[in-house]
Amino acid sequence: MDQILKAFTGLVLLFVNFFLCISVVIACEKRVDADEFKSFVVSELENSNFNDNVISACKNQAQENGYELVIDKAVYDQENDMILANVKLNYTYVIPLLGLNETKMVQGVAR
Amino acid sequence: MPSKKLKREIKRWNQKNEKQKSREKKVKLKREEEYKQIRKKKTTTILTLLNPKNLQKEVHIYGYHFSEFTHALTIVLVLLACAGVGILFELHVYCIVFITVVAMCILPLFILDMFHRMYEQKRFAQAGQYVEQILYSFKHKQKIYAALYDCLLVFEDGLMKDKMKEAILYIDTGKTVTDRGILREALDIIEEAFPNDKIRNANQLLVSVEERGGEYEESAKLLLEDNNQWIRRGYGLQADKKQRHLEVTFSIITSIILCAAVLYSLNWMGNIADMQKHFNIFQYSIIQTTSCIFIIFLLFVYYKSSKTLTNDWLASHVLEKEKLLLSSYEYVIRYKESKAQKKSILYAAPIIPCIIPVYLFSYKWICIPLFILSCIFLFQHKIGYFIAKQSVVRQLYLSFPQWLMDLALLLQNNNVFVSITKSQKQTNIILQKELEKLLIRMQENPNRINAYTEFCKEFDIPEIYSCMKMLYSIAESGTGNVNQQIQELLMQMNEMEAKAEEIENEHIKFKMEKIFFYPIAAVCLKMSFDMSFGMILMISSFQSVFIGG
Repeated sequence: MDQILKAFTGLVLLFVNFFLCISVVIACEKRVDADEFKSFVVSELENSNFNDNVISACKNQAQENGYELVIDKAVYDQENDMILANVKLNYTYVIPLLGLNETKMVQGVAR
Repeated sequence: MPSKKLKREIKRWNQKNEKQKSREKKVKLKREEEYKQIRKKKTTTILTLLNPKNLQKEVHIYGYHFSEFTHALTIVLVLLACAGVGILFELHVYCIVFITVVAMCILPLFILDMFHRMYEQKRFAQAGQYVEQILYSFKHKQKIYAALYDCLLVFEDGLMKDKMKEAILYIDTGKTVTDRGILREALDIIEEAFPNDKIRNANQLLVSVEERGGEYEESAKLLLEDNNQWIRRGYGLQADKKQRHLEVTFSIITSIILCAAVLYSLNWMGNIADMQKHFNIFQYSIIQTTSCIFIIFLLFVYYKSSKTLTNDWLASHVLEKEKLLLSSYEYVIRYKESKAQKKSILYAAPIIPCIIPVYLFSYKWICIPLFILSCIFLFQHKIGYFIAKQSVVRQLYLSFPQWLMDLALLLQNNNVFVSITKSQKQTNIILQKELEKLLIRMQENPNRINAYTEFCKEFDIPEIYSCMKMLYSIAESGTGNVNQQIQELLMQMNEMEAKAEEIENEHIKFKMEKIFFYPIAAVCLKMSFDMSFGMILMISSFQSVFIGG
């Protein structure tokens, strides 16, 4: 039995390390994806001049990708039109082996 | 110079030896032919064993009964196990069917092997019991016939009891076939069914005591002690092998669990990485194929491990084939350092000058294998000598104590020279060669200690050296304190046997450890493949976050 422990401990450690590394890589990649998606939403809002249809379309797309998108209308001009919006994108940061399951946020401003 | 009487004795023994050798040669040829026939049959046997009735017949040969119900139950269990493993690895139906077919083909061999193992263990136990019982029974009346009769009462029904009955009946008939005598021929019936040194030695002692009389108590005691040790070693080895088999079984189970865990974890990670679609690593045909190969490989490993438990426990230990052993022995005997070194330099000569130009003008890394190759060629004589010497030494450690036991028994009634001559025919080929040389030296210089101490001197075995010195002192002191010296000789023999046992156990342990590492090697390969494949899939899925319309 001692032999089994000796032989398989290394393999199990390798297995755990591999999944830990993969989890970290996936979590980083999720962060990059979220950042990219936030930039995309910001540019869409700016290009559409804060069109409500575009905002709702962005929210739908965010939901499809597993994000939570919050767009705060911030500043209005003299004609009561929106000229600035705060884009908040919530995404999950998961490293299962470490028990990490947090919701993180990236935000940007569309002008 | 040896006396005329001694010369006549040697001549007579040589003639007897030649007769015995020719008889043994005939038996050997017969066995070889039988073995060839068995091998021819083997391929057909595997196919025929698939028929349950044929399997039952084969099992019946070993004296056991394998019922149809047990067979059906075993098949159901194997089917369930295959389906379970298939479900665990989420294999396609055709993969599960393939694994099941392979398992079903192995199953009859596995069952047969199990009964063969039980049969061999029973034979071993019976052989040990026979030696013990016959020697104790012989002490009462000093008659082989009566001893056999007493033994019959102790043994349960089985092969040994049948053979003993046959032997008693043979003595009852009173007709001999050869000039060896009725007792010898009767006991041959048992020896043929149980070909073992311990039984042969015990029978030899009984026949010689009944035919010639004399003091036999000490010899019987020696044989009993030797038999006890043999039984203890045999059971110890059986237990050790069972333990190793258990370890291999656990290793296989752990390998399957670990491999499945890797696949499930990859699947889980894949689903975390890829939220767009459902990620399933099991659906890929490459994973299915490798899983299938992995499971079949483990099946064969389990079969091989189970096969190592089956041993002919009665056979004497021979580590290597006789021809190989003889060639190793000849190599060590004829080895001359300077000549071998010249040969090695000649082999390495074409490579060594190439290293520098290759280093200067070509790829530098080629120099490393060239350097290693030249080193191997340069020292090949030493490597070859070491390997050959080690294999002969290992065999000597196993064979010498057996020969010493024979010699100790023969010394009870003969002088050293005659005992050595008589013991010559029952040893292995290396000892035979060394004994021939020893006898020549003894004839030329009977009073010099060198005649004895030069025995196996090329192999530097201190135990053999001290035994030979003791033999010399026995030969020199005559019969005065022979018994005491024989006791000392046997103590030496016990030490050697313990060492031989260690060597043998290490050899068996190494063999079993090799099997233990097969599943580990397989799981390493499978895990690295699955991990690499899973990682590639995950990295490719990183780009799948949908942006834009």
